[in-house]
Amino acid sequence: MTATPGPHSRLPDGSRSKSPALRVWHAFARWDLASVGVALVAIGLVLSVAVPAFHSAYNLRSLSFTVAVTGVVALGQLAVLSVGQFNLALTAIGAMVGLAFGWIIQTFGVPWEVAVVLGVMFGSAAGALQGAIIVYTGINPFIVSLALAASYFGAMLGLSRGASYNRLPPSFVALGRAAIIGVPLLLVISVAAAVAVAVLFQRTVTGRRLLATGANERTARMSGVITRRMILIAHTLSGALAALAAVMLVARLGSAQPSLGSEWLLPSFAAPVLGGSLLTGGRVLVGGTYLGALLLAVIANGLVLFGVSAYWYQTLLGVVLLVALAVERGRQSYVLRNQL
Amino acid sequence: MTASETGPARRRRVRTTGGPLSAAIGVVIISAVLSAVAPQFLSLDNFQVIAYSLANLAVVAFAQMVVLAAGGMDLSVGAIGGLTAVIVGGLMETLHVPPVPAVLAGILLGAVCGAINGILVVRTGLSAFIVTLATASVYTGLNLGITSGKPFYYLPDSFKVIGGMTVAGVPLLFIVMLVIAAALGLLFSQIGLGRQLLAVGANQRAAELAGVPVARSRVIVHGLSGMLAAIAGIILTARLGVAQPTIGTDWLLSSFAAPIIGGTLLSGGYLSIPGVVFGALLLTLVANGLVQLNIDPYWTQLVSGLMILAAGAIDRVHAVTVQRLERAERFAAIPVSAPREGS
Amino acid sequence: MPEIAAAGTGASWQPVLELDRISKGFPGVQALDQVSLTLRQGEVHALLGENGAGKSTLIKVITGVYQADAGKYRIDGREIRVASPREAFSHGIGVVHQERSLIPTFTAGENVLIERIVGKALHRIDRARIHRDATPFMEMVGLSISPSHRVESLSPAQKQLIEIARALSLNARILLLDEPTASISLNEADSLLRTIHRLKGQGVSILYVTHKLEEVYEICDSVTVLRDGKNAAPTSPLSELSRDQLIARMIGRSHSNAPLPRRTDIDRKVVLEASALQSAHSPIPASFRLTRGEILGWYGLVGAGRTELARAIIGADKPTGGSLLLHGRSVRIASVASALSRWRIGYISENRQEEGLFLTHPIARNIAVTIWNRLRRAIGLFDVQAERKAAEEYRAALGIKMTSARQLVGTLSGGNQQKVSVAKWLAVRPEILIIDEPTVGIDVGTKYELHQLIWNLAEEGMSIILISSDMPEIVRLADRILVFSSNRIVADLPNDRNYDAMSREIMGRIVGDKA
Repeated sequence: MTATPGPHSRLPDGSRSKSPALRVWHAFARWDLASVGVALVAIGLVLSVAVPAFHSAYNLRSLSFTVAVTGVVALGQLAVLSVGQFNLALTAIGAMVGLAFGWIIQTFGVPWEVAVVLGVMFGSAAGALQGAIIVYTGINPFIVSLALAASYFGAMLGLSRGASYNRLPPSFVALGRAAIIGVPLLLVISVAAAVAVAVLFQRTVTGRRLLATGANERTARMSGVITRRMILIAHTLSGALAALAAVMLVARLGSAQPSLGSEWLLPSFAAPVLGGSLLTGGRVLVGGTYLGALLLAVIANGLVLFGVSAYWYQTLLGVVLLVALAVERGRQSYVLRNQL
Repeated sequence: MTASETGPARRRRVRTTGGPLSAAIGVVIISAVLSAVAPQFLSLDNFQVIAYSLANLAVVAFAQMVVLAAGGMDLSVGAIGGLTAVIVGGLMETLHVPPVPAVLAGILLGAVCGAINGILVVRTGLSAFIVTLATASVYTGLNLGITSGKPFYYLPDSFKVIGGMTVAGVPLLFIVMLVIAAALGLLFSQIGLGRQLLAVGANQRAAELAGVPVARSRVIVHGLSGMLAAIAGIILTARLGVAQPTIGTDWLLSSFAAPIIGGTLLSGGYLSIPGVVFGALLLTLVANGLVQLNIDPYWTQLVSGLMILAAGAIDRVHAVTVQRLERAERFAAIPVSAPREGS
Repeated sequence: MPEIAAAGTGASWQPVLELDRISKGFPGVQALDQVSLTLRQGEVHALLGENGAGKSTLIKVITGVYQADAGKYRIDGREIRVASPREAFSHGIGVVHQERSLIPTFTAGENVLIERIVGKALHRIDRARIHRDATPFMEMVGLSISPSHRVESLSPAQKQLIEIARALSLNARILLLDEPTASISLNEADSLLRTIHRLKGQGVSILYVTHKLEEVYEICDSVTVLRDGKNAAPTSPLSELSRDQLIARMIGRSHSNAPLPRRTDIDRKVVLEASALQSAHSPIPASFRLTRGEILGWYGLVGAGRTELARAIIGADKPTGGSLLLHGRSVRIASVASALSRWRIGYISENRQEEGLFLTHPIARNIAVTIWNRLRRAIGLFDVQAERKAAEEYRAALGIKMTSARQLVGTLSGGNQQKVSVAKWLAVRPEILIIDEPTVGIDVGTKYELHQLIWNLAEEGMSIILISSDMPEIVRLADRILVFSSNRIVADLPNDRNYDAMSREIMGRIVGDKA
């Protein structure tokens, strides 16, 4: 690598001098939220200009509901990505909890507050079971996750026989549309969850240990981290967040159906990756993940506003995702290559 | 050399044949149970039903198997299958293309979709998991966008009749599946390309050093997978007589389940075609059994999930046993006679 | 171990490979500086040097992975340019690296002739013919197994022989073996050395890269020693060099190898006692004692079972028998976490890349991982500032050089990485510290810094178990030496710090165990 003249010229002491423009560029490239930030700003601008309906209160509310749920779903997957694993049963846990929730509220008249708590506990248990099987049997985590996804979904189908629950207590359904000083309640809950997860990963010992486990499980274990416990915690948290998202979605839709969560899988992985988190573990960016969820919601919203048929929506979503992933990947290698 | 070379060799062979063997045993057990408790099980009609089901499921499983063997995975097999099914249907119904060219076009389309997957994986460096997760969305979207969710009902009779044809009582489509199985078997044991793909899956670096064009191989294997997914979709369309956009939506789980149950390693480098067929057969028999026993078909997925878990557990038990036996042998070779010292 | 006949057998004095003043530099480091090496027909030539001396760079130049910046590369007297590994192959150079490069799910025969099998996509493979054709090469290396054996079921030594057979099948006349006995057992090493002798007789010229002196004297005819990227002396026949001269060349006199000042009397109090301790990976019962402030050396060749015993002590492997006493009390150590927090025993792993470090994390996180639970603030939240401070403290104390606080550990040099690995455990302030191969793969300067550090720790009262296969290192540092062979402790020797006497005694115990 010979020194080139211009922005990279060497100073007498051997270090490289950079022009101010280059310095700014490098700092920007280094910023983990660069890709998702640029995409958001760009797409947001385009939408604002091209479709005035974008800023309408109605649209923004609708958008915020989508973000609220997608955000929590993405956090649920992020929890497991932190230790370097995948939770393929995320959607199944969501469907299972959502349906069970609807069932006990509608059939038994359980107060929704209690039902929510039970639901989150149920989700946590489902996640914990997954973690326990992985940790204590040593079966390939991918297989365990896949098998449980089928098992949870299958159990739900078998027990509910495809039923849905539409006659939920109005006081609960109202929550789906409630707002606090103009901000939808669901969004507030979602952001609160994101803040909690962020605090977990950045400001607690457990969070540090989770990331250590994901970065290198062997090293973590040999450095005194009880990695089994960490994996269990990650999966339990994931299940809890999936349950939360399910309950939120039931509130939003006003009904609990077996198809709940069926479109969660792609966003749950896409949002973290867009936001700079690593699929291999050890590195999570909660803010980036949330922005990634926002980006996905904005894209979906944009497609609807442009009048794109719902059928073409999936195609475009996939394409946009691939482009965004490629860009983020490119950014990461650029940073690594140039040791920024 | 060290003694007992046949010991570990035997155990390792048990390990890698353990999967297919377990699947075969499972098939025998389930068949026995079902013939005992379900009177309709052992009828020609039922065998034909099973054969048709297996014809589709096995090819879906092959589509995943080849990618797994090369060290990757493909979450878009269902999406590709559905897309090609409706394209073929559309070609025949709307554009009046004769069946043969339409089917060939469909297979080609499948190969192209798969190749796109491979190229994306190689070019972006992203994991196959997330790339195919995204492309699945794209292909499904194309499917729905083209059909608006409506199936193609009016397929030419010349095509539909293939779905029902039998040769000596055996459905033609089933025979097609067997031919494909044999071709794949030949490819992976006797043809350079097949060995290249396995080498890449087993040890990418070593394969590269030995001269395998790794990037090209990845694209090829994904293309092959897409092709097989397309064939599976066309087989199903022929059987149903209708090109439905929903084809492939439930393939994801089975595409992994059958190979895993049949002993294909998730890590790559090894596959067993009989294993995959037995795995697919096992899944088919279970689904069939649930119907025979009048158990709610809603439970099928749960049973599939538990079977995958069982397969994973069996593989794990094998692995641990082999490890323990090897350790025992290694330490058996050390003489314990000399006194141990230490203050 | 049988002595293998010395130079001259089957060798002519024609040079087959000559490196003439080869230089190779990278940004910031001159890896090779005018290095010369001459390999003669039919000889076994040792390439010796400590880790970091430039051996691996030289190997990469020879095998065409790198191209030299300056100097000449001659094969059979003809000057050539080797621009890629394929070109190196075509000139008859075969390489067997340290890491295995085999396809485990293929058979032995297929791996021997792997290039033939996977070289072209569209051709038919005749398995039987492949196996037949592979047999002569397998016989050449003394592999008596059937070619249809799956490679994954072979032992590490057999796998290595397969790679040698493969090189031979590609008409390799020059065989480069990189640390061949690094990961095989002692028995298998004997077989390997016999195979090398046989190949010699068949006219193959062998470049034997190693840092183990014992093997050099057993099998090699001549030697080139590298130190800090340069020749420590011109290529010489082994017969003209004494062991001490060889060591001097490897280590050099620029760094102090003087014995460290005698410490004050070691407290006789026993801190750790193992009594017939066993585990699944260390099945032979082991017993020993460790006293306060003592440096107890564990010497053995690779595979002798020291790491396994250490792992049983710190709870990485579950003990299956015997007992462990700390300060006289019997303890059960269930995990590394409890060894760390409850019993204050630390273990610096020999495999820092895979087990000792988080390569994708910055330095502070790597150092503080063992003390996170101490860095909590009031409401259970974590004190990031405290982490940074603690890490900086140890970073400075050990002199870890980094370019910025953001720097990921994976981009540090080997020596600095090892320092991070050590710092991590110092932060715990353990009472007992097990250090496993601390100076493998790091530069000489850092090596001596670490030696001084270990010495100081013992001075301050830490009890240390030093696991090392580096004889000079053990003799320099240890107060007492346990000699391991084949997973067993065969001797417990006080160290009189006389290198010649101690090394002979130690090797004698190992050899005696084999006999």
